[in-house]
Amino acid sequence: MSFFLQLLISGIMVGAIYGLLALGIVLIYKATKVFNFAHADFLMFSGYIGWMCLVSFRLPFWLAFLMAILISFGLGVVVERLFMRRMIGQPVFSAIVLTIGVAYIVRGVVIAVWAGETKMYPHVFTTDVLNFGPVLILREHVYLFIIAVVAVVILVAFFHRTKAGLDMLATAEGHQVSQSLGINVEHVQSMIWGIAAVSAGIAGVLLASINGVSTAFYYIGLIAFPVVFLAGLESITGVIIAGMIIGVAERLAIGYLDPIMAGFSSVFPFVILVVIILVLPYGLFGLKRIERI
Amino acid sequence: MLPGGVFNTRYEQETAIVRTGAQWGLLIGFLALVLLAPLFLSVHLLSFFITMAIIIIGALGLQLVTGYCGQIVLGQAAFVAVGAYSFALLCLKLNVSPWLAIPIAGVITTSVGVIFGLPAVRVKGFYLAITTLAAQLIILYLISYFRELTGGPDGMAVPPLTIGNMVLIRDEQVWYVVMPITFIMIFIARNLVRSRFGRSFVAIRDNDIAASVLGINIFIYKLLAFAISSFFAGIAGSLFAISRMHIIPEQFTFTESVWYIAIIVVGGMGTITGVIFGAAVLEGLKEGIIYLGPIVATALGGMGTAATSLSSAMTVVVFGGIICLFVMFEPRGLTHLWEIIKRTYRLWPFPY
Repeated sequence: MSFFLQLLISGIMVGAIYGLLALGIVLIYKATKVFNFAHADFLMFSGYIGWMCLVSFRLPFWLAFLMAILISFGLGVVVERLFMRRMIGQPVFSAIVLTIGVAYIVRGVVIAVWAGETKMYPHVFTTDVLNFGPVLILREHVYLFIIAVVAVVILVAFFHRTKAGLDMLATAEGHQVSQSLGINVEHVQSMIWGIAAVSAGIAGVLLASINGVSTAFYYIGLIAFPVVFLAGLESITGVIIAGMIIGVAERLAIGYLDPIMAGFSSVFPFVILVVIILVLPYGLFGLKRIERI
Repeated sequence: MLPGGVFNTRYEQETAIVRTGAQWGLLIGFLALVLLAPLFLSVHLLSFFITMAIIIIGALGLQLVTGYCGQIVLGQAAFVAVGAYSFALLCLKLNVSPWLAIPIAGVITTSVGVIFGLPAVRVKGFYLAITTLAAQLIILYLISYFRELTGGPDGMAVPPLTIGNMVLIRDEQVWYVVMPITFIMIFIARNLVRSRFGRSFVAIRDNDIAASVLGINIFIYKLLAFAISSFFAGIAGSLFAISRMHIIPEQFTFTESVWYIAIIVVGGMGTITGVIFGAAVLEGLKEGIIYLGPIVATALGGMGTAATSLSSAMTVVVFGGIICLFVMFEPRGLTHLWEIIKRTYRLWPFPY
């Protein structure tokens, strides 16, 4: 039982980070109907940026964290400006293929700069263990969990409480309508890409500080897809819950399925993904849109 | 567009694929060239063209489902892997004749494809992209998990084809197996897209609600497009296994799947000729990068491992960059350029 609780708690903790990561994909999907396949590479990029700030520049953690956020934001804006802006008014299909191309460019830059090596983060927080009854948790992980949750809360508040955020939600509903309401759609789209990259940036630094960062980080980034689909593609608040569900499922697979079938936990979220699409194609919190010609 | 002076007087002329005497001449000349190629091509070039032909078959399948039906597939390489491994297992474990194993491998791949396609095609949107991405990861995991069957990461040896007592292992011999099958597959694809099925695929791609109003069963046709695509992948996989004689999971990674997408983007979405253009250009480019990459990396000041990682980084950037450039600046691909050249030539000296 304590083993189960242990997996459950660690699943919820890592799941919050997955939720944060998936938030970026949902934002871009809502605003432009584009799946961003470059998101996993944004994650990898910011993991390496965080390492560079922490180890190469010897910055304190909070400053390195801030730098990683800013640089990720810059990456998102640059990608939008150079590539995605040309896709306004083009078929969604082309834009999706374009994000795949962008993914490879970002990955190539990462390999060129950091040679694709595995980089370990230094311990940022004290490494002592907290006792919750039978469950042991690293204090570090508690902090990471809190940072992830706070980041999600700030982002959600930003979307529902500020003018800029509401502009973005309006743009998500329809480009033409929001343009006639005086919203600058190009500006909003560039902000959305920036913020989506920030969500990958924060998640990247947090995940990298657990296990270090390597080019295999890309596969961790793909876990965002099961999360997004479980949440139902359009729900900003849903992704955090879906993230925790996927996180718990993954940890339970590590605990119970891996001893039977080695390495199965790495593909388990994707098995769930296929089942979700089979059973609940609109996810837990998604909207079933009814279309007219 | 037809050259001047060619008029259709009968319905058969209207529907013919080969329209003019010059086209017949070129086609027969090309077929003769392909037939005689092993006599004068070097072994390296032969194996290059064999790989290209196999890639063309896989990309044709992707073109049907992505270019014509508008459903993105991100796991084509994994389906090629299913074809390759089921071919090898059929021959080795079940002692099926390799000639018979090729179509059976295609059918097995189709059924694996349908398992992943079925949940996705029910709903509108790019769900097939996601389930095939999942298929890519799950299939490769299963291949490396069933180590005693597939050899895991070390791969497995594939038995060669035989005709009577002759064993086909040299590239010249494999050439005469791969090339006819490639031509047949191109012919099937070319005819499929102008049949009732192909036109339904295009209708679904352009507007699925309108297509369903016209009486096209969207679910069946989307699934059919994907099943045909998987069948092509299965055939490509078994030919791949035959030509390489040793298959490892590394040959079927996610990057390979994206490579297939790049081929149809570069060649031109929604054209069969585009697949051939795309495969020729990108495979040529790959060879070029493999040859030039280390030289450029060393020239840029990298040494040893730094040069290796720099050249692999360049490969990845060039690869992504080509996809981006074509999507942004020439979304209709090389086929479109080819059409312009052809029209200009036929109308010259008049502009239109």
